[in-house]
Amino acid sequence: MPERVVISFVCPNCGAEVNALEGHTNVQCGYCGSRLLITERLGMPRIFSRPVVKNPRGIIKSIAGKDAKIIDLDLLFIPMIKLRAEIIGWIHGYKKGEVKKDYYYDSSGGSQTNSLYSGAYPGGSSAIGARVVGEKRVKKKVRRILEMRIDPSNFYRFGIERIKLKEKKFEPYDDNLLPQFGNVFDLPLSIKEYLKQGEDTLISNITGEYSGWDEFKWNLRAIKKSAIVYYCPVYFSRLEVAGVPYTYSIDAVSGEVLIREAVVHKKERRVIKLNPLYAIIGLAGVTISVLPSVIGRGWTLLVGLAVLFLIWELQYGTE
Amino acid sequence: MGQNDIKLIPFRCPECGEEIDSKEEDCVYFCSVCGLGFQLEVDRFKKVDVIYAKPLKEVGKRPLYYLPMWQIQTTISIKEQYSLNYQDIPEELLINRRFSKLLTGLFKDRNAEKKMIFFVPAFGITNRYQLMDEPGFQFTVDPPKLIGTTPKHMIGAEYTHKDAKELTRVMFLSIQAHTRVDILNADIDFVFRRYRIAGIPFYEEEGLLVDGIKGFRIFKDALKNWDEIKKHLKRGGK
Repeated sequence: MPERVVISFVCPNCGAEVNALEGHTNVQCGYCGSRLLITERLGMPRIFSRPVVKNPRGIIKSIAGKDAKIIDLDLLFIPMIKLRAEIIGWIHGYKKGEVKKDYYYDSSGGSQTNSLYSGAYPGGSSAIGARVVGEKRVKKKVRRILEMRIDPSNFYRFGIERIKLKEKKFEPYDDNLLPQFGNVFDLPLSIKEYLKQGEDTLISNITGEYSGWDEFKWNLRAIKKSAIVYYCPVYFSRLEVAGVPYTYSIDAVSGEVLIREAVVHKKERRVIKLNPLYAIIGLAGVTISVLPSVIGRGWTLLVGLAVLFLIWELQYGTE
Repeated sequence: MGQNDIKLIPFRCPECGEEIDSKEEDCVYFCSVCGLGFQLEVDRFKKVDVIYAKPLKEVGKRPLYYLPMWQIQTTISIKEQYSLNYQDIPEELLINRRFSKLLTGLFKDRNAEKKMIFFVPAFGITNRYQLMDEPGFQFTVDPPKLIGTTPKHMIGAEYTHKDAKELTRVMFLSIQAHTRVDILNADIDFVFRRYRIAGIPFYEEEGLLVDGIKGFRIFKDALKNWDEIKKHLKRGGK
């Protein structure tokens, strides 16, 4: 019997104790078999998959090399939230097109400059016209069922977004069982906050398609929101290969390497950006001081004027 | 509501005592014996009116699968006055004279009130639902006269009447989105008069599901877990 019990009830049929798991509303009495409904949903369902990989050190050494020195290796259960919601409402937008001047043929021979047209004009004499390209309008209802993953441990970079959930067998979360395998990460925020965060992201995924439009109105909301917390077992290791520290994270079910990266303390490179204007002024100074002895004063004056013009162009010239 | 206020209610029909089979996502439950529909309100089951519609099309001996739809009687009024003429209404809606008249009347007359009956699917759908005929939308444009029949086995409804009201507003705006008039910012008043669940018979034809009332089609995978639903309904709701 899983231990993640939210609340214990008394079966209204037989009086036996009925334990309800969080996030579920349908329960069955273990004694009389009555099917029962809980009047309020508490929390959200949590599930986990058991670690299968027996030799994580072997996997790491097969990739990092036999000389790799494993400093530490831990099994962690990282929570990942899968949110599902139906986004309903409407969007209404308009995007201006670009006016493009174009040539077209006028069969009547009359001039039709600056008129708007679309498509080719067959036969006749040519004239300059303009057409609007890329004008877009949208006015429609939205009803989309969307799913997304929220990675609450994103900050730690375990790479759990790469875990394929469909290939795994999950069972109800068990408070007593999981610590026997490894450490369990808690959710840093409340479930409601994740649901709100997910709802905002799903809506912005839709409205984001229209960013940059000249006019855009929307009224969207999420209904039928549901979420499941998956606890995915991950081996996380720090190691050293030829003096370079590395971090590895491995899916403890499939053995797939999720993250493999060298921990490099990057030195800041000093980049000296040379302003071309100063370069030219410096060059001009050197040239003027050397040139008179080589090409004479007259030519030096001309070169000097040319350099001054160039500096003027760079500073104030039109693009 | 604290944990002490949370109760357990037996999944039994409040009318005949028959045990009800339901899924975790269900919000409205139907008794497979007496046909009663009920939903949870605070800590007790409240009765919901249900009509099991008789097929109006010739369906032969094909097995029928009843799916729930919310049927919501609404009075709509728009405060502003808009100039909406018949030429602003698209052809697919113009075919229906009654509906075109209703739309033009609603937009043109100041403070006009019009009654509309919305049909909102209450069964669990996928994004594929909108890719075919959308029976809910079609029934709203041209409401069928449903004739009741004996209670049938029906899957539970996944949308509460509150969800259905939200969807009703969206559906109305989507109807006007077909027209050339923009009323998205209009002050539209919806008064929900009555609601009930209509059990709509569907049958399988050429890999699709066809409704037995008007013959509108949906993809089978427009329903969440169609194979499970089919098995469940064939077993007689057990």
